[in-house]
Amino acid sequence: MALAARSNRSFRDLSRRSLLPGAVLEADARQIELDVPRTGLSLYRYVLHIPATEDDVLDLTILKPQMDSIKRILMVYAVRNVRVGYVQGHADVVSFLLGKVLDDTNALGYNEEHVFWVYCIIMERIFPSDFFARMPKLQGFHVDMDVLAKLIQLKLPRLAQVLPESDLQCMSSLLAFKWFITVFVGEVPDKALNGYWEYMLTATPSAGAIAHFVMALMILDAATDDIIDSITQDDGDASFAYKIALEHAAYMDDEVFDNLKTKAESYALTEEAIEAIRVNVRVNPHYMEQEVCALHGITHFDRSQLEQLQLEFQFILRTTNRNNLPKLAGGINKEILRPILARVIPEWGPKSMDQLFEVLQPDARGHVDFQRLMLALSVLCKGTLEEKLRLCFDLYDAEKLGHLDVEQMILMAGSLCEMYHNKLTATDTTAPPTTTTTTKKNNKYRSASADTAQIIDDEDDKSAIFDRFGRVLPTAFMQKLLRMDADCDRKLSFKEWYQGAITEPLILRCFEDEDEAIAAPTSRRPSRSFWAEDKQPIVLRRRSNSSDGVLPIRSPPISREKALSAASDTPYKRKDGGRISLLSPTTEFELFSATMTMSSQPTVTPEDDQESVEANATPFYEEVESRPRNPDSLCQVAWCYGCVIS
Amino acid sequence: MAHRKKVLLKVIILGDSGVGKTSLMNQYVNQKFSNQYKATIGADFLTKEITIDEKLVTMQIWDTAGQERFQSLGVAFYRGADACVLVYDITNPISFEKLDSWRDEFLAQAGPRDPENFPFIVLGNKVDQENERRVPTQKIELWCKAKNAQQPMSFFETSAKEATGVEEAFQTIAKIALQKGQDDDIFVPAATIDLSGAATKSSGGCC
Repeated sequence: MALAARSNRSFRDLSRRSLLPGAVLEADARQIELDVPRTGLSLYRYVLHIPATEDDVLDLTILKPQMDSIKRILMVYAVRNVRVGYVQGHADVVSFLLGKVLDDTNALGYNEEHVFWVYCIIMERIFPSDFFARMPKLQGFHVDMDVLAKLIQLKLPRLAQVLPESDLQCMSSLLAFKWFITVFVGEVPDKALNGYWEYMLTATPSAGAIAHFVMALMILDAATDDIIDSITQDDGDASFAYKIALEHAAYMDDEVFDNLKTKAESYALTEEAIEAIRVNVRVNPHYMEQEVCALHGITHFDRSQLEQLQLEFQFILRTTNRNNLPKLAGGINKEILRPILARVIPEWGPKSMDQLFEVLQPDARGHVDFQRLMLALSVLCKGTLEEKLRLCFDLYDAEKLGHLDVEQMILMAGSLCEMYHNKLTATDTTAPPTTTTTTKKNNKYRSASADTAQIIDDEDDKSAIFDRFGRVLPTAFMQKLLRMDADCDRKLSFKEWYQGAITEPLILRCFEDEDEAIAAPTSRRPSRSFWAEDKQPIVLRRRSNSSDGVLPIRSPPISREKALSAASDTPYKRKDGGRISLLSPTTEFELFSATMTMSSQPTVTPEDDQESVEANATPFYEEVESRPRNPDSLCQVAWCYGCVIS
Repeated sequence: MAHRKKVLLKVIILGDSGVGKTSLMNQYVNQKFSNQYKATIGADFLTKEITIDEKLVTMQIWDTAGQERFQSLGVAFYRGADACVLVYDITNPISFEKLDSWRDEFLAQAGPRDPENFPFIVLGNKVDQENERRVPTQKIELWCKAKNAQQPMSFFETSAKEATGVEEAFQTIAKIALQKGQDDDIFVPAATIDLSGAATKSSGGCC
């Protein structure tokens, strides 16, 4: 189905779109225009294989076809990945690829499309999705920059000892910019560069994803003696250590491919180990704050809500059983996301889940990071009617053609039907849970809008009702959609959809805010829930402990039974005055959020009773350790604890 | 080492992409100009030894990347900066409008003790393209006054290509930074004195 191709839209489609006005953000287009003419040296070096320096007078006219190719590839990528757009320096990276990804059948020696897809692999599979992001500025890169500093301390203690902490930070950050942003293009000899890229692209995916760290450590390892000499003899500082490291890189030996492999083993660097450090760097208040700042203003969430959700997301990252997940690159996958979405937006039923997941734009590993999740949830939970209608339309207009064909309309009708059904059910369960489980049989179900009043017998077999429901209502929605097609071209444009939807109570009901629905007359409510005794999601209202948006410093006394029941599979929608939560309330989260906020508010109130979890280290560990939990995630929480306090 | 107790000044050049930061640095340090500079990634530095008021000073001039997302090079990088050169292109009004954001970002990252009086200098580059000028001189004068009425920032119009005004501009910033450094040294003596003899190291660019 076309929907599956959404994130994999073909090169030709993307090229076509990149030519439309406004498809590439102006800042990106301007920067590309500026940088492509500056690729002369790289093209001479990597494509023409003629060594040149900036003092030479180069004939750039012979490179016009290559420069045009670079420009096209970068523009197409900027359309494919709006979040990254164009990263300065990558015109040179693409120059290198033109000479590397060869295709003899093409007169120029390369095929633009092949080069493009290799570039995509680098941007989306090797590096984390926010590595090159424009907002918050290069966040993933800055995280890796800090990771590099930590790795130097761990793996190259001789070097770390001679440099004061601040100098080490400064040196590693400058080197990270030079090496990671350029993916070493232009920084090491050609043979070494080829070896590195081959290793990165052909080693196992998890080895490729950390190759930049291995390479950096390898160069620094070789440069250590010179750096130590310079510092002890000349009183040099970080800036000279940086220059020495760059020089070593520029003259490094050629056997990079094999060396990377053995070095990765000798440093004991695995993707899991790197990911563990990354996750801990990411909870640095500075990064958390940057992320909230970037999202505040472009989402409907307020700051305190974003902070709450961010904490919950961090908690999910840490507590999910890592053994089932080969990789959690700062994001969560479909399996984890499914129950979360079912809780937060119960009205979107399972039928729309796959499409919804596409709207979240998972990265190449199938992971959705916090920012993407927030952007989508902002519209889904708190968006204006127009935003919601737009999103719903986009779900089915996967190829961005601006209209839906009949097949897509059928899909949409199915989802709308499901949403409609779920809305009514959700409204019903606002009554106390006991009533939903004791409702009598054989009640009549009345739908909300008069023109589709359909009375459905509540038969003994609930699945039969659902079948019948599924059969009847989608047709009603389909009829509505077909009627919206004002120009009768069997295609539904967004304008038609929007104008039709805002005057159609049946559809409006699907997108209504739940709170409005509660305030609406009770006649709208069905008299019983079809889901009452089912295993399907039931929406329960439950007040969270942090209703005012301020995270609890200490958890209230929690018994083990209560904790276990809270952590069970019962879906909750924690919703206080429009607040949403990614979690069902669990003891572990209360503990987690307590530790995360403790650094700013470390006081312990003495009058707490003994059962309460005191906000200091020892009880925290005891409390957590007394519970049978995955030791890995335990270690994660503990580590993070230490990280935040120090 | 022969010269102990040398003074090291860390000067950072900031400004939009393509305004000529790398060219200005290369013109000042190496007296050369090229059309072939690659886009700068992260930061590079060159050093130059100069004499000011009979004092030997090593200027460490840091050239930075211009794209907006590179505005933050990490707090560790800006720490210890003694002066900041803001560059715009007189043929490109956007680069002029962005001066504010470069200045603010610098102050936020470097966190100098006295942000009001931190040594800044503004350079309007590419005066060799006078006929394409789109930022009048009055505009930059007003901007400098608006930032600090008592002590307006110094500004120069330069051409890295023809070496116009480059020498004077860097001399001026060195003087201001040195003066400011001495004032500050009354309180924190070690702040700007670097016991570096490493200036004898090669000071070539990396590309």
